[in-house]
Amino acid sequence: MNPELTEVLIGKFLDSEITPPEKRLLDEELKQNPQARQLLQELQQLHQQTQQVFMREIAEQGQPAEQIIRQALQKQPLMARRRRIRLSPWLHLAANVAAGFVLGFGVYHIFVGSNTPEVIPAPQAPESPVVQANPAPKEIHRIAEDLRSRPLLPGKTGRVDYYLYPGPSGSEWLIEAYPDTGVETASYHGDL
Amino acid sequence: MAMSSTKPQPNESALVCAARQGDQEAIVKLLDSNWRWLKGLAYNLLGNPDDVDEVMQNICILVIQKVGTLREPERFRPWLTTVARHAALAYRQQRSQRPIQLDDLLLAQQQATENENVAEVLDREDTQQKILAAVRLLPEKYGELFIMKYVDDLSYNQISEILNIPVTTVQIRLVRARRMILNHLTGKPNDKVPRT
Repeated sequence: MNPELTEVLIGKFLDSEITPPEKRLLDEELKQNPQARQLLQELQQLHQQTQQVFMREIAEQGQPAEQIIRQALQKQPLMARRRRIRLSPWLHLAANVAAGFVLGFGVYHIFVGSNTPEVIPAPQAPESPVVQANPAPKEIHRIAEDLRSRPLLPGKTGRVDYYLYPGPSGSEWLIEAYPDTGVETASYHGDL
Repeated sequence: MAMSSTKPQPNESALVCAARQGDQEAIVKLLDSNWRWLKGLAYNLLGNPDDVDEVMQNICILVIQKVGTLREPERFRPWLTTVARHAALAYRQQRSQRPIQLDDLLLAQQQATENENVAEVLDREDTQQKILAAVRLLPEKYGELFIMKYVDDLSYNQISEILNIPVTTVQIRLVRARRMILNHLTGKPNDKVPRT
């Protein structure tokens, strides 16, 4: 037998990893070869002494394992890992696409949607100047009461007249009147 | 709990899962059951038994910190090997940069003298000391495997799993390591290492 193969088989024998056919082969070689027997003897001695060396040098040295582990746990407490949901790749992709759509819609709504002009046109302010009310408080009160009883019309786009009237308590009232509904327009005297 | 030898652990993955959920006893069991070979690994990288305990504690802290990031519980041992190597190498580098204290030098000198006397009394040619010296001369990949084998009596399969190398590589490296040690003890040159 090849001397190198003999040494491999001796090694396997010492490590208790030899198979029955390999053991038969090694037995045959040992019967015939005195050098193989000597090598077995040397390696066996080395094997036994090495076991003793490492038991003494490493395994039996130092603090007990549990003591070191507990000290480590005191220094660094073990934290529970946060549970994470695992998605399949396709589901992951779908979730990303959906998130992208939502985000895109939000951005569009904030930046683009806010610049869109409203459908309702602005009231024609120049045609409806704020008017200093005539000294006819009873008439103004009547108009105001008349307007208050009417429901406000959303989206009213017609002409609006404004009346500024000092009330009995001294405070000023701004009154809107819609000529289209039949209320007379305010008359204007003097400068604003 | 006594330091136990590494045995096949069918529930090691379950222990890893429990540890990831914050179970302290699971982490204690996991580390304790792999203690010996881990110690051997650290010893091989440090070369000094006095530093091993400190590195073992660093390894424990790293494992406690990082076990939550381990995605495959069944690959705990190879992962643990990587963590242990990292911790031991970091410690070795840190130690090499540590300034030398005169007191330490005096103490080391005193201990060496005492050891010399003890050795003279016992036997200068103590075979076990020679074996240890020969193991320290082994290239790292051989020394690591050889120490793991002898500290914890691991099987070829277990070493293969831990070091993430084929079983045949484990077998060949062990044969070569033994031959190198034997050559060192008998004064033969190392060109007689089997190449199988």
